[in-house]
Amino acid sequence: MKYIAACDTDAGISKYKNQDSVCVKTADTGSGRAALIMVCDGMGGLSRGELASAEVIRSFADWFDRELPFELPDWDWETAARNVISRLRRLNAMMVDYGMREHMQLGTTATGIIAVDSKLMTFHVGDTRIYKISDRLSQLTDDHTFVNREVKNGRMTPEEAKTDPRRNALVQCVGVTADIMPEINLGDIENGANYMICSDGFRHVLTEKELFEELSPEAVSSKKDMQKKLRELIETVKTREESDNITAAMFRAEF
Amino acid sequence: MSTGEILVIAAAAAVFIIINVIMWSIIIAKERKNAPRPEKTVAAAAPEDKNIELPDSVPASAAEMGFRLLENTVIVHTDDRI
Repeated sequence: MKYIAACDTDAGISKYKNQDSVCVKTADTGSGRAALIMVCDGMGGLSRGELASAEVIRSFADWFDRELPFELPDWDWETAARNVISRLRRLNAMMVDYGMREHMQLGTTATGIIAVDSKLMTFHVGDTRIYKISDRLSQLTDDHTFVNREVKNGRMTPEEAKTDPRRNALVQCVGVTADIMPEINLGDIENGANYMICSDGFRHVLTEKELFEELSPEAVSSKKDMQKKLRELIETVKTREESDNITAAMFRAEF
Repeated sequence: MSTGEILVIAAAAAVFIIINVIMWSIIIAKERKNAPRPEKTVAAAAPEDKNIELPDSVPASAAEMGFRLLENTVIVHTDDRI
């Protein structure tokens, strides 16, 4: 079994500070493979987005290094899912409390994949997305945005949502509201498929057709390919005058 | 109105227009000079952006169990902690 992963991030053309954080970890567990692939998009409108995203990434990265090795002998996906939800809620409460004490607002999306051998868990809060790219492009996460909720409830059409001034407003993210309801999904890893996590800055000006063609398993099958394609797409996004920070990570398993 | 009077009015109008053009040119030049730098220029240099890659923190006891990091990229943009 082989895990391949890579990531890239860029402040973009308009912002002097990159508020996104990203983590790509894979490990030989002694009996198989494990991976943590994660992107956090610090809220641009909030004063310390980079601190919020860094704190969440550091927490999960520390868990992967320090706790996962000792959880693996009794690994259970249901327990792992509950632990991820608890960790995100603890981080949310910590940030809300910190924001109140320091009189500042800070928030971040938190979206990632935890893989152990041939199975994976996706966890998600916010509008960062996970795509699976195999023979087609599938979005695995739901955007936690105001307009997406309105569209689902039939109060807005998808066309109206694209131009609505509230299209970037999140209904939940880590660090802003009293509680969060992380979206968790468990499943099997598709052999040879590419999984991609990206901030909204990465995908805003790229079409789904472009994402599929550029990141398909045939076009991208090695770590070198991933690094090259992600950088190329980031440069494309910058030439199209995207104003946000730009971050993406890729993951692929072969067995 | 005599030709002389018309010439005087025309000359006064011309002087008024010239003064206005000069005055507004100076105002616009000053505004451009004082305007904040466009964010695009600032971003190109990204002087305050820190790309911090964190080291792994696998404990020795985990390594003894056979746990070994193969890929380890963690990028954050601040040293500050909550």
